[in-house]
Amino acid sequence: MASVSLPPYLPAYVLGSGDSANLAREKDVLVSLDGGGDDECTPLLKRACLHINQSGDSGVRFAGASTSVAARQFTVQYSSTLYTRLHKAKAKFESAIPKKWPGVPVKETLAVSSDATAAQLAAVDAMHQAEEAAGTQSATQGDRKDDEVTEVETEQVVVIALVAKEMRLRPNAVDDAVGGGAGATKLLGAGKKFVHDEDGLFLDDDTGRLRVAEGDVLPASKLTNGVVVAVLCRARATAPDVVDVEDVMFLGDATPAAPPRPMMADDTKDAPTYVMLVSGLSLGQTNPAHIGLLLDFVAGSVGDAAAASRIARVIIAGNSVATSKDDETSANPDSDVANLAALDAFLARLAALLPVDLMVGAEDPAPYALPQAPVHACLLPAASAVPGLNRLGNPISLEVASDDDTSTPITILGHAGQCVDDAWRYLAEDDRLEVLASTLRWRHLAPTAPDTLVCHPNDGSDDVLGMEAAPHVLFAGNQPTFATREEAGTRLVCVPAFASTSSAVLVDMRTLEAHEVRFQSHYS
Amino acid sequence: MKRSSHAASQEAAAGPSAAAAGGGLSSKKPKAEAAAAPPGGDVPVDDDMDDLELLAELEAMDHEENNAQQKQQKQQQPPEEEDAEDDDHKAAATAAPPKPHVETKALSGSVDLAMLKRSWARPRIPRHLRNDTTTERVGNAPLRMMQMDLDYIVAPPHHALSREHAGTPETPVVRIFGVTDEGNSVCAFVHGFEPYFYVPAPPNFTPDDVPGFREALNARVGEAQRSAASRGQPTVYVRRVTLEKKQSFMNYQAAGLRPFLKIVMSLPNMVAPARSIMERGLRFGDNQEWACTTYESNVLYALRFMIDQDISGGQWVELAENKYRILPNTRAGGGAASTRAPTGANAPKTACQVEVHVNYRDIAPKDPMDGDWGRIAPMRILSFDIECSAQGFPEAEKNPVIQIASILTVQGQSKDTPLAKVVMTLGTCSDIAGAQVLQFEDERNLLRAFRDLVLCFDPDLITGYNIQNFDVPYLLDRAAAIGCQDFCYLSRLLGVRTKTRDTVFSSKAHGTRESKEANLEGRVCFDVMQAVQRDYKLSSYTLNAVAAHFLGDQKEDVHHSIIADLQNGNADTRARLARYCIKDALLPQRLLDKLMYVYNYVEMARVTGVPLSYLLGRGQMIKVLSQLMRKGKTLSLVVPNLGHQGGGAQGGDDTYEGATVLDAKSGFYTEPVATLDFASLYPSIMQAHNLCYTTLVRKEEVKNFSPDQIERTPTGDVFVRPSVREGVLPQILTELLSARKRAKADLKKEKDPFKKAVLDGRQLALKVSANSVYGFTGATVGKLPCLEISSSTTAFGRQMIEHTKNLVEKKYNKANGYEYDSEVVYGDTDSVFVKFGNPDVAESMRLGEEAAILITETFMKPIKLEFEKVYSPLLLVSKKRYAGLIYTNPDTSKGPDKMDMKGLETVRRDNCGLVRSVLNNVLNKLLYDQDPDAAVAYVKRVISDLLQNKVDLSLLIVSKQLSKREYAAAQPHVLLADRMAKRDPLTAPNIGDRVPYVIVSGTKNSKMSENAEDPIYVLENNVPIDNSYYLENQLKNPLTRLLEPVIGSKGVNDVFHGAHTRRVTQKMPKTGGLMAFAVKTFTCLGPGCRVPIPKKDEAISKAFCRQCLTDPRRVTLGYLNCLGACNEAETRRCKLIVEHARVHELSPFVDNLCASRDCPLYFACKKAEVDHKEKCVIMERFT
Repeated sequence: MASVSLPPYLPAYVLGSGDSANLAREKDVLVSLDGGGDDECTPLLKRACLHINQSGDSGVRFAGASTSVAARQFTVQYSSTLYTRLHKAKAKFESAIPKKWPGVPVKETLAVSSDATAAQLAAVDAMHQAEEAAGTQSATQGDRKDDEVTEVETEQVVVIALVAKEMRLRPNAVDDAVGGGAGATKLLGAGKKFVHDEDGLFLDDDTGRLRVAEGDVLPASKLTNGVVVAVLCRARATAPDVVDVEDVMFLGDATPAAPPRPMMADDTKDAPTYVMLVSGLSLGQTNPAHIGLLLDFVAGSVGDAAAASRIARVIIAGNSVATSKDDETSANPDSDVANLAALDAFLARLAALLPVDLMVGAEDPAPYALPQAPVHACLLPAASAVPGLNRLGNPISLEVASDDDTSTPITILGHAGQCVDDAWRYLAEDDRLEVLASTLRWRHLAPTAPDTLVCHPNDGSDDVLGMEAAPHVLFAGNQPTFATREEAGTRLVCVPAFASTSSAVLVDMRTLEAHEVRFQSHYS
Repeated sequence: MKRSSHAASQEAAAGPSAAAAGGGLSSKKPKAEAAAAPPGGDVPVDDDMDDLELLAELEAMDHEENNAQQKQQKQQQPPEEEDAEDDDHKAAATAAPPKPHVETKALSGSVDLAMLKRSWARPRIPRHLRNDTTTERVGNAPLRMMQMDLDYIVAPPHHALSREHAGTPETPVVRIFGVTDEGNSVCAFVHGFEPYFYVPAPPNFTPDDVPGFREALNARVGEAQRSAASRGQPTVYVRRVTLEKKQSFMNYQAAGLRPFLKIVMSLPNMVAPARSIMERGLRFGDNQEWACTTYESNVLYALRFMIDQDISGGQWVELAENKYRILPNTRAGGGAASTRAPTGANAPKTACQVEVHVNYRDIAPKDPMDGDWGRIAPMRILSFDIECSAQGFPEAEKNPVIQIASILTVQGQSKDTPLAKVVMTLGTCSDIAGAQVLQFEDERNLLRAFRDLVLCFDPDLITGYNIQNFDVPYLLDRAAAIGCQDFCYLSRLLGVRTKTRDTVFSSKAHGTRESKEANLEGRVCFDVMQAVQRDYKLSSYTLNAVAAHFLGDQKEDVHHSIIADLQNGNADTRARLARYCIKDALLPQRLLDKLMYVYNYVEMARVTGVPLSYLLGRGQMIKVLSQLMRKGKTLSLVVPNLGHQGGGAQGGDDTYEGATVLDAKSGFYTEPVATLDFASLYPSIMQAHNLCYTTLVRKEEVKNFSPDQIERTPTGDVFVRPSVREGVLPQILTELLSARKRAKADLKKEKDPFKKAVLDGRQLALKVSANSVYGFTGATVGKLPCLEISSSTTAFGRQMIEHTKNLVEKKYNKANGYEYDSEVVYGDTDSVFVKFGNPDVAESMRLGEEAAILITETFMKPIKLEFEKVYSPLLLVSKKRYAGLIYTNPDTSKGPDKMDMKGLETVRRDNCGLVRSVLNNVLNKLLYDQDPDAAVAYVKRVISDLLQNKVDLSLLIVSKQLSKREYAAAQPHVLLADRMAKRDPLTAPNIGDRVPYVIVSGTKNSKMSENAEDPIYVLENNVPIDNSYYLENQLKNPLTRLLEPVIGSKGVNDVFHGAHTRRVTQKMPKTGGLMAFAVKTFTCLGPGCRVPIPKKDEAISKAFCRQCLTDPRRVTLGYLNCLGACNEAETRRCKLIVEHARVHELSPFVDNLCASRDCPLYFACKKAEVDHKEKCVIMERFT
C-alpha cells in the first residue's frame, strides 16, 4: 500500500486505500508523521465507552487459563480432550443432519465397515452358491480366481468423526525430545508448510477408523488434523475400511451463525465506536517512534482526534515484548529486563488513557500451552497498578456492550495467532484470512491442538478451545498482513504484527467494519 | 443365516442350518467325554466327529440359542453348574475336566460364520482337475503347480504307476505339495523313485559278482532290520545292484571314470544300515571282507529325488497330460478336513483340494529363468499371534490362551488389505473395525476354532513372530493340558497329529540355536524372527525393535500384568487387547512383505535346489551340497560320505590363516582415500586358479605332472590347470555369477514390480550362493571339507592384496612424476585403501579408476579389481574400525553420498545413549566439519556436564535382556530385577524383558553390579548417578579409540583428566541418609542468589529473599528464568504425550497404557512428567 506523506505538524487522517486491488481491505487508515510527535500532548478526550463482560458464558471458558499454575499440573492424557471435542460436536450435528441428508442413517465407523464386509461376504457367498447350484455343467464356471469378486453396492451413511490427517512432513518431536536438550521447544521455522500431495485422511470415532478415499469432496489439503466433520459416504465393499465421501458438513453448517448485530445504545449513534486491535508490539525490537505514534494517536494528539475519541478500548493481541528464548545462546537478560520495563511504562501510559485488554501470545513471558494464562503482575509492576489494565490470557472471549445497554452484547473471540499459524502449516491454503475463516466453519479455534500445537489436556467437561457459537468478531493476532472480511455474520480480522507492519486495526462496533491504521515516522 | 432377532424363530422353525447347528450341539456330550480321556492316549481321534460337525461347532449362535442350550444341559448336568459363565472361566483357568461347552455369540455384526468360512476357503477346483466319481480318473490336461513342500511316505505300490514294484508291500512315495495358478492346492503322490547309493566296485569285480554281492548285502541288512521285518516290512532290502562308471569328487583322478556299484534299496530308511555295513566291511561270495567309503549315501531321499529329477525348491513342475491320475475329490471347495484318519484306498489323505498319483518320470520341471516360470503362485499365507494370560513367563500347564489373531493373505493379491483379519477371544469382546471377532467362553472351543480356521483357510505358509519356539508349541502344549486333543491337527495330512520336537541347529555362521519344530506337513513354517536373526545383525530382535527398524512402526508393548487386567476387564478392554494381538499378527506379515522374504526365499530355493523348508531349518551346507551334486551328476562325479571326521580332525577351526593382511595405519586422513575392491574375491580366485575338489592333486601324485599342467598355490597345495581338467566348483561359480549378471541386467529392464522383486531375490540368492561355496570347503565339520581349497583361496587373497599395495606404491610416487607419493593405509579382506596424496577428490577417483584397470591386468581372469569409492576424510581407528564420508561421484559439489561407519560403537545397545550420541557428534564434527578442535571441545563439555550432573538421565540408561537366571556371576541387570521384584512384583521385569538401568553411586567398596538402579526409581528419588562409572567404563574406551588417531594419546589424556574435570557436583537424594533430618527451606530464586528464605519471611514471598525483592530487575529475571524452564518442561511433556501415542498408533480416544521399559518414549514421558512437576512446584511460589 502506498503511504501518503503529510507535512509536519499537520497530522492527517486519510481515508481510502491506495491499493484498490486488495479487495480484502475495506478502508485503510494511514497515520504518518514526519518529524517528532508531541510526546507530552495527551489531551483528554471524551471517549466512547464500552463495557466488557467477562463473567458471561464465554468469559468463564478460559478461566482455567487465568488461575494459578497449580491448575496447570496435570496427569491426564489427551483422550478425554478429543473425546469431548467429538461428542460435543456430535450432539450438535445430530439435529442438523436430518435436514441436510434426510433419511440417511448416522452410523459409527465400525458399523460402516462391518456392514460393508457383511454385504460383500453375502454377495460373494451368493455367487459361490449360484456356482454350486449351476454345478459343473458350464465349462467356464468354477475356474474363478480368488481375486475375482463382484463389487457390491453399499449403503449410503452419515459418519460423524474426528479427522486424522496423515502428515508425511510432520516434524517429529521425538528425536528432539529423546535426545534431550532444548530441541523440543524450538519453534518451527516460520513460513514453512508441511503439506504433502500424498497426505491422506482418516475418520476416527471411538469405535474405530475409516480411510477417506482420495476425492474432491474432502481433499486432505483443505483439512487439518483434529477437525470434527459429518460426512455422507459409502464404504467400499472390497475394502470395507475405505469410504468414498459424497458430501461433507462442518460444525459451522450445523450451528447458528452469529445473531444479527445489535445496535449500540449510545448517545452518538451516528459516530463510530471503535475497539482497537493491535498485536506484536514486540517492544525492544520495534521502532520506538512507531510505538510513540500509536500512543499519541490513541491519545488524540496526533492524527484525527475525533476518530481517536471514538476508540473505546484497545485489545493487545499478544507478543507485546521481545524476550530472548532460553534455548538461544545469545540470551540477554539485561535486554529482557529493559524491554519489559519499556512495556510496563507503555502500558501504564496507555491504560491511563483508556481501558486496555492485554492478551499474551506465544512470544510473551507467560505460560506457553494453550489456553495461556495472563502475564504475571510482577513483570509489569507499574501498569498493573493502573485500573485500566485488564490482564488476559489467550485466547479471549469478550462480550462488549455500552454501559447503558441491555440488548445482546457484541461477542468478540480472538487469539494471538498461533492457532492460525499452526493450522496454516498443514493446509494448502496460503491466505491466513481463509485459514481463520476455516476455523470459524469448523467452530474450533485450534483443531491442531494437541497434535502439533501445545495445549492443556482437560478433564473432559468442556472443549475449551471449541467455539460454542459464532462470535460477531473473530480475530487472530500477529499475522503477516492485515486482512478482513465478513463470513456469515462474523467479522474476521487478521491483526497484523505491529513490529513488521506498524499498523493496528479499528473495528467499529456499530457496523463491525474494520480498518487498518498505519503508523509511520520518517524518523527512526 | 441371519442371527439375533431371528434366532428364536430359527430355533422353532429348525431350518436346515439350524438343524446342522443343533446336530453339532447334540453330539457334544460324547465328544467332551472323549476329550476328557487321559492325555497320552495315542489315538485321540474322535470317531463320531465328522466334518460337518466341526463346522457346526463354530456355527454362529446367539444368546437365545445359547440360553436354550444351557437350560437343556442343566437338565443333564449335576446342579453345581449353577453359574455357567463363572464356571466356564474357572474351568478354563484351572484346566478342570471339560464339560459340554456353550458358545457365546460367535461373530461381530451380522456376519454369518459359515459364510465367512466359505469366503476364506480356496477357490473351487477347476474343471480339469475335478473328479466327481468314486474312482481315479486320468487327468487330461497338463497340471502345473509351484512346488511348496516335498517329503515322502511309505505306501503300497500304485497298481498302475509303479508296476515294477508290484508285489512289494511298501514302496517310498514322494509327496509334492503345490499351488496352481488358480490358487488350488495339490498333493502329488510320486511313485517309482528308488533310493540308492554308491560304493566303488571292489577290485576285480565283474558283472557276475553282482548277484552274490546283492544277496550278501541283502542278508546283512535283513539282520539289522529284523525287528522291522517282523512288522511286515518287505524282505527285499537291496532291490538291485548295478555297475556304473563314476568318479569320486575328491582329488584329481588321473585314471578317469572307474566302476562303481549303484546299490538300490527298497526303502529310504534302509540306506543307512546298508551304508554302515559297507563301511564296516562285507564279505560276499568267496571274497575277503571288503570295506569301503560310500558315496552319496547321506543324501535325504526327497533331496535325492529332486536332484535326479532336476526339480528345485519353489519351482514350477508340470505333470504331463494323460499321465497322472486324479483321486476323487468330493469335498466341496477343499479345506474341510477332519481329525479322522483316512480309510479306503481312494479316500482323501490330505487336506489338499486335488490329490493325484503320478510316476516320477512324468514330472517335468520348468526352468524359472525361462519365460513366465519365474512367477510365484498365489500361495496362501497365515500370520498369527497368541496372547496368554500369565504372571511372568506363560506356562502352558497353567496359563490359558486368551486370544489368537490371524491375518490371512494371498501372495501377490492382497498386498495392502489382507483377505481377512480374525481375532478369537476368550470371553466377550467388542467389535473391532476391519476385523472379525469370534468370542468363546471355553478355551477348548477357542483352540478348535483356530484349528478350523487353519484347515479352512489352508495356508501354504504359516508365519508369525517367534511362532516356532513359542506360539505353536504353546498351543499344542496347552491343548494337551486342557484335554483338547482334537486340536492338534494343523498339517495338511488327515488324521496326523501335529507334535513338536526339539531340534538343535548348529552352524558356524549362525551359532548353535536350540529350537522346536512342529510337523506341519504340506505347510511351510516361516518364522520371521528366525529369518531376521539369520539375515540381519540387529541390536535387538524383539518384534518391537525389528518392526521399528524395518517398518518405522512400533507396537504398544503391553506389560504382562496389564494383559491380565485387560482380560479380566470387560468387552471393551478385551477389544483393546485384541487390537494389540491383531497388530502383533499383522507386523510379521508386513515384515514378510517389506523384506521380500517370499521372493527371496523362493528364489534361493530355486537357485540352490533345496526345498523351501530347508532354508530356515538347515544351514548353508545343504545348499552348496545340493548344487555340487546336481553338477556332479552331469559329470558322473559322486560325493564321498566322509562322515564328520573329515579334515576337521586336524585341529581347531582356524588351521588356516585369517584374511586381514595389511595393518591399519591408524590416523585421521583429510586427504581423499580411494578404496580398490576385488569383486567377488573368493569366487573369482577359485575360478582363476581352478581350485576344486576335482583338481586337487594328491601330494604323492604331484611328481606325475609336468609343471605346465599344475599350479602350486601359496600354501604349497597343487591343483591341475583347467587345460587338464576344469574344476566343478569354478564351473558352478561361473554359472552362478553369470546368472547373477543376467538377473541384474533383467532387473534393470523390468518394470513390473512383482517380476522385479523376483529378479532381485534371484540375484541376491545367486550372490549369497556364490559366496558360500568358499565357506563350504572350509567348514571343518561340514559335509565335504577341503582345507587345501579354502586355505589356498585365502592365501591367494592375501597375496593379491600385498601385490596390489606394492604395485600402487611403486607406480604412484614422485619418482614416477606424480605430484604426491601414494600410500596404502589399510587392506581389508577384499579391499585396499589407497591415499594417493592428492587433496582433490575427483583426481583421486581418476587415479583410483586408472589403478584398478592397471592392476586388474596383472591378475588372472576373472579376478577384477574395481575402484568403488573415495573416503574424504577418513578416520581409520584400527583394523575393521573406521569411519568416513563416501564420494562416488566426481562432481563433489553435492557433497558426500553418505557417512560410512564400520565397527564403531555407535549402535551397540549395551552402551548408553550418551556414548552413541557423543560418538555420533564427534564423528560429525570430525568428518563433516573437519574440525578436530571443535570435536575435542565438545567432548570436554560433555565430560564436564557429566561430572556436574547436567546430562539428561535418559542418555545414561543401559539395557540388557534378562535371560534365564542361571548366571553364576552377579550381573547388574539380574540383581536389579530381583530388587525390583521385591519392590513391586507386578511391574518387575520378567525373563525375556530388557531391563534398563543406570549405575548409581554406591557405598564404598560396593561392586558396580550392585549399583544398578531402575531409571524411574532414580528419577523419582533423585538418586545420585555414578558419574565416574560413565566416564571410565562407558565413554573412555570408545572415545580414546576414536580420538587417539586424531589428537594423540597426550591429547586424549587431557580430554579425560584436564581442568574441566575438576568441578564435580552430586545430587542430593530425596530419601535416606541425612535427608530425614533436614529442614526444608526455600532458597531465593533471584539470579545467582540461592539465599535461604527465613520461615518468617515466607508470608512476604516464597520466591525471593528480602534483598532481591527490593530489586525489580532481580525479580523479573528470577521469574523469567523459572518461567522459561517451566514452559520448556511443559511443552516437552505435552509433545511427548502426543508422540508417544502416535508411535503406538493409538486411537485418539483411548489413553496410552504403554509401560514398556523397551519403549524409549515411555521413559522420556515419565521423565518429562517429573521435570514438569518439579518446575510447577517452583512456579507456585510466585503468588
